[in-house]
Formats: sequence, structure tokens, C-alpha cells
Amino acid sequence: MPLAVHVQRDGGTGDMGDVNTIGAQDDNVGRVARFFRPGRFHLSWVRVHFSGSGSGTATLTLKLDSAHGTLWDVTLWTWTGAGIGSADVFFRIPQDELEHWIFQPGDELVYEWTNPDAGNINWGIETGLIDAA
Amino acid sequence: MADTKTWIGGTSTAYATAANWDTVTVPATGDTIIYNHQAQQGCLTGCDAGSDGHTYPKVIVTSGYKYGLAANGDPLDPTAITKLYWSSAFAGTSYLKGDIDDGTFESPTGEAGVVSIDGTLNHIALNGGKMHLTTNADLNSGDKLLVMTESRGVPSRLTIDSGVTLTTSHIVMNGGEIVTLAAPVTLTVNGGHAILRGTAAATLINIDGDGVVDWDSTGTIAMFHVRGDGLLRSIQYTRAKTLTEGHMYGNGRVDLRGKGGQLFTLTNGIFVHGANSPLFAPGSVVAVS
Repeated sequence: MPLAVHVQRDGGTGDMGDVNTIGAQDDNVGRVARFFRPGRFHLSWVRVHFSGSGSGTATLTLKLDSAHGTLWDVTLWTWTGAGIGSADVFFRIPQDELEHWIFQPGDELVYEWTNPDAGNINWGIETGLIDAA
Repeated sequence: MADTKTWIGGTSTAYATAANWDTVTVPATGDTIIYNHQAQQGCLTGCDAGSDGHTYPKVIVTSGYKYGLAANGDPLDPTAITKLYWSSAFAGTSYLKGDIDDGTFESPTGEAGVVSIDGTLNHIALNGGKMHLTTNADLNSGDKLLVMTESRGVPSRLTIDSGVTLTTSHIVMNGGEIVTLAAPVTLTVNGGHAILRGTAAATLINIDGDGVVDWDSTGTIAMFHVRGDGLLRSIQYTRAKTLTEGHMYGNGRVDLRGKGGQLFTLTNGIFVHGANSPLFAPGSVVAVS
């Protein structure tokens, strides 16, 4: 049976997120490249597109910002050479593997990527999340 | 006589230069102003003096307009804009001042820039793109709503400075993200993500659908209702907070587990009306007064 996938998006021209930082309590900066659902959820797929006039690639990592604390902030996946030049990222998880990609309420998925040509490379992330039963 | 004037920027970036407008006259009260694909450069200078004192029934900025509008310290500053339609493809920041009675903001691309507004706003719809309400802005929605959605795949993002007046407003979110340092009186989140920061308080928060509110601020929440699959979280920071009363229904969740532990002063209580309404508060201290 098809599962309802919640597609979430973010984009920018600078660096992506940081698993250790969501901004100071007194600033009004939004969260960058962070994705979650209100309850338990599965990761279904990842799509990251790079565009713009800049050049260069860098390592893209997908990390868990665990609700339980930094002791459990594991790196889930690493893609080397992500950026300009046919270096988009598409990663999909087969349906029978979803049970291995389950996250708890309060967990967040964070993309980390240091822009090698900040301001000239645009990134756009789409992430498919499925609410867990 | 009221007219429609289109910015062409034929000779410079100066608002008050007649040759920069298609009719070779600078807009006056009652004119409709259009910024579109005909622009050869941005309308950036003299905007304050050039527009001050005028009322424009319509200001239209289309996706063909790829330049900035006005500048920091020199905003487009009419007395009032009756209706504003904004869809610029400019990636930087544009600056508006004065009252906007009815505004729709859309984003034609994922890299759309920020509209920085310092004025009194009524009935604003943000359908994708970024908006920043600066310190002196007044979101005077009254019985009208600020609607946040995601349009054409572009999330809406609204940032609100601490000095913004939200005293009569009812903010409704259907998607996107709000980060506010100012206190919304009533905040309804049917989808998307609202983040209260600094000392932002709230009189009433309604969460439904899959809406999420991060209560990162130290301000008091007087009342909340969490329904549907909604979530109220307070998990990132450790400063003490005060909650008067909360209600949970259906699958609505409340998560108060501070990573470093935090103290909540609870006046009336959190009332759980649904059998599936989980309340998490490990690591936190809830004091009932």
C-alpha cells in the first residue's frame, strides 16, 4: 500500500545546517536544513540539487540531532563530492528497509555541507518523511 | 489624474527621476505602480522622499522584476498602499515602509529574497518567500489573518524582530516557518513550524494538523490547545518558563524534555483529553503554583 510521504524543503546560498547549532535563544534566525515530523517518523528519500554560477564540491553528511542529547548524534550517511557539476544527490530507501530508518519524537535530521563557493552555489533540499505507525 | 506608471529605470536608479518611468512622470497619489520585466535597473535611491505622502491603490511587483526595490535607510515610503502584490525574483533584500492594507507575497523561485517591512500591515498573505518585519513594524491584523503557506514548492519564512507590535493580531499558519522575538497574542498553527525566541510570550496558541511550535522563548504561554497530530515542544534551552494552562486532544503531543533540564512553573495544569495524547517531561521540573 502506498505510504503518505511528507515532502519538506529548504534552500539557500550559504552553508547548510549544523547538528550542534540551531541558533541562539535570543536570535530570530530560522533553522537551516533541518527536518522532522511531530511524532515518530521514517526517512524515505533525499534529493539535493545544486545550481548557480559557482563551482566546487564538498562532502555532504546527513546527521541525526537526537532528542536524547549529543551522545546519540550519529552520522547517518555521507556523500563525497556533492556540488556543482552533475554532483546532485539522490538517495532512496526501499520500503522494506524503512524500519531501519526510524526516528523518535524530538529527533531531527540535519544536512551539513560547507559551501565551497558561498553566494554563488545555490542548494535545494527535498526530504521525504513518512509518519511511523 | 490617477494613472498607471511602470518603472523602467531608463537613466538611473532614482525613484524621483521622471525619465525612469514609462509615462515620463514620477508617480503621485492615486497612481498604480508596477515593477516588472521592463526594468533596466533597480529603483533604489530617493524612494523615501519620492514616495512620501502618497497613497497608492496598487503596487505590483512581478516575477519579471529582477532588481532590488529601495534600500536600507531609503525605503519605498508612501503613506499607504491599498493593495500590494509581490512576486519579485530578486535574491537580495527590498525595503518597504508605510501602511499596507492588503498584501500578497509570493515567490517565483526558491532563491527569492527578503522583503523587509516597517509599517502597519493589514491582511497579509505570505505564500512562499521570505519576509522580515523590522523593529517598528505593526502587524495590525485585527480580525484578519496572516496566512502562511507553501506555494510552488517554496516555503514561506517570516522573521519578526522584538520591537514589532502584534497586539491585535491573529497569526494563522498553514505551512512554512515563523521565527518571532515578538509576542503573538493568538497563534494558530495548522501546519508548518513556529518558533518563539527571546522573551516572546503568547496569550493563546492553537496547534492542529501537523503544526509544530517550538517554545524556545522565556515568555509566558497563557493557554495552549494541541489537537490533531500537532506538537508543542520546549526541548532546546534551559531557562525557566511559565505556563498558565494547556489542553491536549487526539494525538496532540507536548514535549517538555529539556536537553539540559528546565523548570516550568505551571499555574493551572496541562489537561489531557485524548487517550493518545503523550506528554513528555523527563529531565524537566514542573512546579505547580
